[in-house]
Amino acid sequence: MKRNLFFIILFIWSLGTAFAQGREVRGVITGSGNDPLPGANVMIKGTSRGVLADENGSYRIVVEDGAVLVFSYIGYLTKEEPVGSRTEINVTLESSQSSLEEVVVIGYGVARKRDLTGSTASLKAADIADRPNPNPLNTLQGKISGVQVTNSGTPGATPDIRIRGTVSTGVTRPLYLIDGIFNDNMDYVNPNDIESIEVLKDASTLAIFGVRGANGVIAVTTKKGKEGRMSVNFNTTYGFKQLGKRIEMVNAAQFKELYEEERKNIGDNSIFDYSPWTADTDFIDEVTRVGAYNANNLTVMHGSEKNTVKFGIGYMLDEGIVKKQKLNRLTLNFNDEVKLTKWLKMGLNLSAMQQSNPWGGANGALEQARRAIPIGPAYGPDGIHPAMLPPLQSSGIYNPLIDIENNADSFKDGTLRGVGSFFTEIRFLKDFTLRATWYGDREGTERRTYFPRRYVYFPVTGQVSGYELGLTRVEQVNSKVSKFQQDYILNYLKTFNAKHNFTGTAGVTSYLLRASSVGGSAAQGSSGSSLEIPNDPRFWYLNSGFADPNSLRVLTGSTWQIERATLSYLVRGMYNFDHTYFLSASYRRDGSSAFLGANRWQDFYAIGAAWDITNEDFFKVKGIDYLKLKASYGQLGNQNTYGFDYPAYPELSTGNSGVFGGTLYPAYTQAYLPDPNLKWESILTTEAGFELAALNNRLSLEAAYYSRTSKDLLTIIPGVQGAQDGLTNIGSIRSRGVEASASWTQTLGNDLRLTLGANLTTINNKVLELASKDMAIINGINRVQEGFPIGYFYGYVVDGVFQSEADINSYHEVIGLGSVRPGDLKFRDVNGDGVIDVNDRTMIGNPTPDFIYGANVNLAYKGFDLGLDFQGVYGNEIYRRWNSTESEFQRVNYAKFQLDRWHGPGTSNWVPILGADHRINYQFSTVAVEDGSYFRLRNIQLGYNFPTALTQKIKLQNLRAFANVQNLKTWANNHGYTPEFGAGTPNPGDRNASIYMGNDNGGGAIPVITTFGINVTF
Amino acid sequence: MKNLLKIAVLTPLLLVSVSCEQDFLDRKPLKVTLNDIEQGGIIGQVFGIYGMLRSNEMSILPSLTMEYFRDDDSMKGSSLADGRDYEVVADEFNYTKDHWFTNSYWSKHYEMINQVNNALKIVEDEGFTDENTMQNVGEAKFFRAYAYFNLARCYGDVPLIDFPIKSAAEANVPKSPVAQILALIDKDLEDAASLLPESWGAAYVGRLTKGAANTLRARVALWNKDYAKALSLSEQVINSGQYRLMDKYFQIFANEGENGSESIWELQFDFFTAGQTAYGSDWATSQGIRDPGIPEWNLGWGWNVPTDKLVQAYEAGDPRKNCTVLFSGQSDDPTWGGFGRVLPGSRQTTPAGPLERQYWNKKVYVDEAYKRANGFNTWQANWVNKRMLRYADVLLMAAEGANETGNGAKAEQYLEVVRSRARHGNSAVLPKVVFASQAQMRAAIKHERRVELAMEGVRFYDLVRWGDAAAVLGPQGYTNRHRYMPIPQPEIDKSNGVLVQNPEW
Repeated sequence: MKRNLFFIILFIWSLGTAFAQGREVRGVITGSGNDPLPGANVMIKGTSRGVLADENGSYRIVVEDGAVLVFSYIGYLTKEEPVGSRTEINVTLESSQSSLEEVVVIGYGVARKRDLTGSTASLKAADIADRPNPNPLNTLQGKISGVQVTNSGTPGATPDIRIRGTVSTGVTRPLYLIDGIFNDNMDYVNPNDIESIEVLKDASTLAIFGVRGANGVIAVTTKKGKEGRMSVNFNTTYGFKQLGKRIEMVNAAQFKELYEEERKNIGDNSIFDYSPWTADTDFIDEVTRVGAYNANNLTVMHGSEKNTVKFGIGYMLDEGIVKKQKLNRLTLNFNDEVKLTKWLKMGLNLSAMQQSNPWGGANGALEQARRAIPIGPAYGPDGIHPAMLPPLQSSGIYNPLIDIENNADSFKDGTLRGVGSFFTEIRFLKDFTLRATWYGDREGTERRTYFPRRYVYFPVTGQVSGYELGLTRVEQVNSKVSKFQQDYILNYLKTFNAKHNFTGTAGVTSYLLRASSVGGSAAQGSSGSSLEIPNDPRFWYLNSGFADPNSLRVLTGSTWQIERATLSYLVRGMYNFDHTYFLSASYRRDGSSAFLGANRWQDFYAIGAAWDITNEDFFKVKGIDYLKLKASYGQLGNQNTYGFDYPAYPELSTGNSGVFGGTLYPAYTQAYLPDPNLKWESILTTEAGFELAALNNRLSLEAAYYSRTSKDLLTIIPGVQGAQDGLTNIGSIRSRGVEASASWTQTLGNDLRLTLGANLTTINNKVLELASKDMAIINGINRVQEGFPIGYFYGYVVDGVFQSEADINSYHEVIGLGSVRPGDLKFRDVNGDGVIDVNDRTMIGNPTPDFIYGANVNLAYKGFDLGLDFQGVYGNEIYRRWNSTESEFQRVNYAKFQLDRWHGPGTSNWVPILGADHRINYQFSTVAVEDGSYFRLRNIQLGYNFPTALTQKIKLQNLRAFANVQNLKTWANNHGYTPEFGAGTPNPGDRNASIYMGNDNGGGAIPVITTFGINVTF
Repeated sequence: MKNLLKIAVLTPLLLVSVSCEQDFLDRKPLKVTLNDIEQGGIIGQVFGIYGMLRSNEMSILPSLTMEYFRDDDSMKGSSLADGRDYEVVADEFNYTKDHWFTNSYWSKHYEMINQVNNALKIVEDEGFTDENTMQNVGEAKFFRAYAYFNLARCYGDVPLIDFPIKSAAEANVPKSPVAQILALIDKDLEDAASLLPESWGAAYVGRLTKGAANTLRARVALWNKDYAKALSLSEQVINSGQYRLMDKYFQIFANEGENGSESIWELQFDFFTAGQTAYGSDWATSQGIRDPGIPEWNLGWGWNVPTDKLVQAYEAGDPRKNCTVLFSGQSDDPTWGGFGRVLPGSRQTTPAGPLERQYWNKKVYVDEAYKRANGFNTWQANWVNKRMLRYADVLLMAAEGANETGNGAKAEQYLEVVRSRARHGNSAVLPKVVFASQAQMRAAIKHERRVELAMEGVRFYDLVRWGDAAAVLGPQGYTNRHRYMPIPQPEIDKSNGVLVQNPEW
């Protein structure tokens, strides 16, 4: 390494030459109707140098002899003009809806989309900022082909994102690249600061990200100051959030009817005393509310020839639909770039976020509300103390209002995050640029939780008393995550003989992650004279003086520390001949501290090629403006640690420590057996496709076939006969399909313009190989098994309900599933062996859709614009866990559909008899598998831009007002709040969280959000 | 000049770069690994086995279901709807092939066996022979025997794994005959008894001893109907002089009885700060009186309750009845270990009350004042140790061994020790059983085991080994094939056809 750097320096030293002198060209850029285009882009072809037009559309740029200027502006066709000997070049750009001309982020640089051999797609500021989503990733849903976004209703939560299907049982989320810094989330980014989001999908664009590229990259570019412009923008949005679709549970009278029937069924002939239980409570109503939404942003931009600057402040409040759940966030950012000399540029980018995090118990409260039975009152007669539920629910189900009244406010959970970067870019030897960037990301979270004494009303005794004897207690957890990244990137840009265009990139980058957390708890003393810790945030600290010092305890689950480092070398070449034949190749070598020995270093690469047929003389097809064929292939990496901090070193569990006579003796048990040859997963990715613009650029169409096949999956091999689980590389999963997106622009008369867009992605998933043919990775109903789609549902096929003893006797014998009585589910003899037993389980569902799609319609008429976004998935199944296999230890409230249960011959042939003893009905079976397809009106926006004539009178550059409704209507076929159920990321508590796909646990309600806003630019 | 300037900018730029890749990438966990511990952490690994036993899977609900409910004297309890599936299996003998309690009971026992095998391998590889390590070896072998004895009694033939598993394939072996398993158990316990000390003194209260190994080995001998061996092993324990019956029967189960003179082995549960139960367990909590909607009587989950049959089994005036059973609607009987509280009535009786059951297990009934003083909720009793082996059991095993080997006098003598304590000085009750015949003495010992050890998880396997199970449990649905559970289906699924289901299932 050292030696390499030495050579680079030596090389630079020995070849130092002077720079060619340039001259100035100026002009005006106009669009349709000869309106000037402020902010239009002028680039010197083949370089990354360029300027922006000022508010009059004027530009000035210094060029060398032989330069070609490239003029571009969003929504217009790009135009090239060779400078020749001219000093003034005025251009008029033609309108276009094609995205092909954009300059897009490609990782360690930017490129014109037209010059790429791979697939990227973008979402622009206008589609992000106005949407009521604190997390901009929520907005991606349905907008970009190949990207499956599964949202949850939690304010600010990162959705489950999978790009081009799932090929790992571990980490499936993409890499987030925010202004060049690698991250595994983008929670700190203010949506208002985003200039564009780009999604990188194929091997030729991803290989440069090496071990982190396999799941795709979501690259965010934030807004920067622009040369020659000064503006102050203020926008504010107000709105409200409501529970949309509800799940339907029975009321008190219906509950009594069903419960009495169930008691009879299980042989309970005693008399149930309903006298304390005369309420008819809708607990879902009790815990939900209309939440408020508010976002405000102020952004200042200024740019001169030498210096561009932008800074801003944003504040956001996002209340959940569960009472007291809310997110508060303040963001600050500052960006400055200075051209010190013609060859030296430096810049600084800082952003900071302070956030008070939402109450983590909100989802649980919503789930409890669904379970709580309606005969219990919500509150005691005083209206203050939540009431206990009937004791028949007492193991595990409690009145969610107990938490809402006592715990939802008794914590302080704040995150402070600062992300900064500094770069120096130096241009030398005419065609070389060296850019060094140092990044730091530091996140600190402090959570202080107070556990008050909780008092509840007991309907049986008619008294209010302590819910627990429990002592008041405080928990304090402080955690911090630091990431340091350094990039040293050398770029070489050269055009040979006017037709051979070459871009070379080489670099070294390092990444260091350090994270730690310390947590403790302290309680009031247990002697009679001890003081209660007051319910006052002032005392919510471990050492507040109220807690008994002897009660201080380290929370072992919250106290941890890790360190991980990566060092990488990368190189990429992109070549095209006359913008007609394109070739690209990239390579990255990653070294990781997570692994040992020979596998510490792994190599990733890709090659790609493309052909712009429209540049060929022989290709003159009328109506086709542009047609590029492209293909790429590569091997990418997935940094899946399966939630283990140090996969090569199994953690020693100390939770099993020995206790002898009240003294603790530490014990050590290895968590699993590591394979000494552990390495990262790799994923082979192939793509072939085309990009098309036709009919005077009114139609644009992109389509690609993709295939991603993982190999050497990082897999936990479940131990048999008590062996510890093993962690090794074995297995392969394939995801393939076709993705396509199209847009159409139509002008209807002078003032009315219609734009249509649509995208569709098919996903075909199959596990090609696991450790053995019969091995399955299991998480509930989900399995990963050779020959089946990832996370498929495994269980029995239901053919109906046994109507009578005679029905049972005439059917196959049922073995090992408990006794079978009339009213029980009739499982199909899938393997045809004449008996019903465990061998009749089979695939009964697939949580991955056959295809996902999105569409949008935009109408613009004079100052008005109306946008409708639609989105949906098709062909997947959901497993409804609630009111099917849950509730082994207590009675949960009945769902309304259980009114149609079997309760005598001929009453139902689908919903089984009520009774927890009928275990056969509690097996995973098709009785609770529901259709996951849905179609949603994702967003409606109506906006009005006030006429310039008016705004100028009040000294405004721009004034816009808009109204927006998100998730107004979802057409779905399941019983849950929503048809969207994403999976998680592997963690110490649940290694297989990422295959827990499509499970409806009776929560996850997605709100309908209505907002109104104005946007003013001074 | 300009070039010099460029170089001046470039050079530091590059030199700031990563200095040395090996140092940069060489990052070990910021936490202990096995390599960081002396002797491969052998003592810690063995202590970890004690910790494994604290788990729910090994010692709470699955243990209750397998070892307790399947007899005629205790049943699942709680409310009808709560865990009705456990009742269907264990009280009504509808065995299931795939349920959490049997799946986890199997796999946790094998995990314990694996942990033992790993520890023994370290000792063997490193050639440790020091006294401390050999004591650890004794403990490890005890645990392997304990785990296999549970598996063999529960499932019959099971895979025999006495080697450390390095790959999943190695562990995938077919079942071995139960006799072979029992031979390994006996050998392990013999070794354990020779390696473990008689007592650990105050330093390691509750750690395994020679007495524990001999007691378990005597139980195994009875299971094998080797009565002479059972007698000899029991007498080794008796003659060791380490143990003495508590003066009062109910003291065994009170706080004062924890690790008391009668205790041979207890699972140690503890808590270190008020309300925090990191090393506690739900053992007693799972069996406290179930919530009737009255806060002061919500004492737990209400599992493992006495049956009418047990209540009727006691001889007239036997104080152990009121030490073992709490009666809904009656006083908790402060004379026999209660605290002077009156239980609410039961829904099963007239007049009806809010409690779900008529009887509750008094052997886990704890002092509410103690709970309150230590910051526990009413329904928590997480500090209560699980009594695994106690001296009265040894005396009765000795009596049984003596009677079956023709030494009636000795049987009479040992039986009387137990009965005399139970009498609590009241000569009007529990008359001495005088030996008349082997059959008469056998019946007396069976009865004594039933009432002395009631609710303690020994009766089902006693009934099986006596050959009485079909007669006693038949009315509940037991037939001969119910002596063994089916092997959990997930284990069979994982084995790729190597592990075969029990032939009767």
